[in-house]
Amino acid sequence: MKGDDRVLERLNLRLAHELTVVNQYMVHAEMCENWGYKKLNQAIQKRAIEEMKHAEKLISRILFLEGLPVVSNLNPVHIGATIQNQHMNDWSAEEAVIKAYNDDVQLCAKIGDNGSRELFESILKEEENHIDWIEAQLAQIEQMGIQNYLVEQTG
Amino acid sequence: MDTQELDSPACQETSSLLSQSETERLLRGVPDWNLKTYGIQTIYKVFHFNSFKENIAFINEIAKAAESEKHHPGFHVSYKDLTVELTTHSANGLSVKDFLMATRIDNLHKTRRP
Repeated sequence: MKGDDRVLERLNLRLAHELTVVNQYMVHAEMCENWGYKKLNQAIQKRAIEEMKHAEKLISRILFLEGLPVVSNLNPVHIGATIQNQHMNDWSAEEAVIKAYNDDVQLCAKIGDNGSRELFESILKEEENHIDWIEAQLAQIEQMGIQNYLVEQTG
Repeated sequence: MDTQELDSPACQETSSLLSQSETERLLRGVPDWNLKTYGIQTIYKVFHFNSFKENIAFINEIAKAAESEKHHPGFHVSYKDLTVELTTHSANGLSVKDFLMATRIDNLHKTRRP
């Protein structure tokens, strides 16, 4: 089934985002592992795998709509040198994509592509869970201080 | 796409077997990966390194990514050359997962420290 070009463009834009954050999160997870923050390593790695699953779903949808999935496009990766900066960079990535997915849902509703709308909505909900977790980490850092927070992350 | 392959296009099982046209479209996005059509369909790419040690270090990088994504490539090592093969055994051929792993491996190769 041939999809609307505007939807296909959005699907590929979100695919580039998902592939980019997989790299960003995997690097952050590895840095946490090297520093001995086992809990953070596991949590961030889990998020990276969820983003990879989003990429898989976006590709499947592009193929269904007879588009060409572009897997080679990546956006700039923002690596944080400290845990706090990692969380802040990841927060920015999530915030930007939540806005984008909301726009995508509106576009799909407007042109009547409900299959793509459902997909965007389901990913959007998971991205909201991601940003919620990051915000909780930033709140904990603010409330208990970075050192106390990090003690909790060594597992 | 053959719609018989899909129950729900929006939530397609991503380790489903790709059709020929889907494979061809995805293959265009992963430069220098080739399709092996005899036996179980596989994509493969040959990487060249400056030393055997560098070659093995890269395999270890890939192994880490493969473990986290639970999708494991095949390797053939010949001194400074490495052939990486990807297929989805549960699908008896190629799935979206193979192309995502190919992209991941290419990114690791681009960003590796020799």
